[in-house]
Amino acid sequence: MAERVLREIVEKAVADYGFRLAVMWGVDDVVAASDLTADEAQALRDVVAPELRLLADPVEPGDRPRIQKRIADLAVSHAGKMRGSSP
Amino acid sequence: MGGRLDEKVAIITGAATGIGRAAAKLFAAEGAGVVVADRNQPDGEQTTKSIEEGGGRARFVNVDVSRAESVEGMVRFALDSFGRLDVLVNNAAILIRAPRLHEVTDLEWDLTLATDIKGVFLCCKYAIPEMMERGGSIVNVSSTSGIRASSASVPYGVSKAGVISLTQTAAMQYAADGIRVNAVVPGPVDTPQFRGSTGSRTVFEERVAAIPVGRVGKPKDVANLMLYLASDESSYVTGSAFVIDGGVSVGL
Repeated sequence: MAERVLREIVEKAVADYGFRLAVMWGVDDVVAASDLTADEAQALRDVVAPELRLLADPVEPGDRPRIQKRIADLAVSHAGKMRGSSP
Repeated sequence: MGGRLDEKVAIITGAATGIGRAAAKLFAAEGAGVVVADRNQPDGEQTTKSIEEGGGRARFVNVDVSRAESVEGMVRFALDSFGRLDVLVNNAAILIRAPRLHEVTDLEWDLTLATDIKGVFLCCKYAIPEMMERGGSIVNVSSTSGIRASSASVPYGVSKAGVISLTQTAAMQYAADGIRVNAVVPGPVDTPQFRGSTGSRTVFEERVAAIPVGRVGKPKDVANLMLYLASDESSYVTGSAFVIDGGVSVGL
């Protein structure tokens, strides 16, 4: 379920500039209000926030699905690696 | 040569980009010491560097306006850096698009109101005591979304309407202390936030084409109004909200 939440956060942040700012500069507030595991929260900080800083303003509607999937896949993969490396 | 804000010290929140950055540069050029306050550290430091390279006085502080301890630290930073506080510009805000009320999530509501109205409250709360001895000027940034219905975002419109109410009440409460409180009410201005809120270049261009004066506002247009309100030129002005929107809200 939390993976779906992580993907939804990424999708919203790519599509919505204001929400993107909230994730980029206030990620802890977003994490606190979301149902994410610790690994997924860390993926939001380590992978998603830096990727969002590189996006155009706004991301054109035709480009969104590809970018949303790329960043969400990166985040899910990162969370999986962190989970795998946890003691 | 005298500047319009000589010897004054200003805190400007949300000064990393857009209107806040334009105000920070203009205030510094008019002689103020400026605290560039933002969560966006890279762009905030760039704003500060740009001011210093132009011969102005500026310091950057990373602040989350929705947290009391962070805001208290920002005010302390201003006093430690420049020794006084005369002007507060409450510009930090976020606009999360949420077209219809029943689609707004708790997270969208909470994030928006935390920055856009609680942030204004907290900054006033901690700045006002430092202004009570010598007086001061507070400039709050509302929006035309706060004075009429907007399809962009219910939480944003509610927050920006609240900013005007807070402005009027604070103006009454602190007029006798020499602290003036006013609001600017911008419409479309060419900022990252406005471009982002339109969602696409096509919509941005459609919005701009509908502006009666025939162009989108520039951040410096709003900064010029803020400068007037921050300076002693507006000493008889308090409790007012100034629309600056190229004629959009009156439907010229």
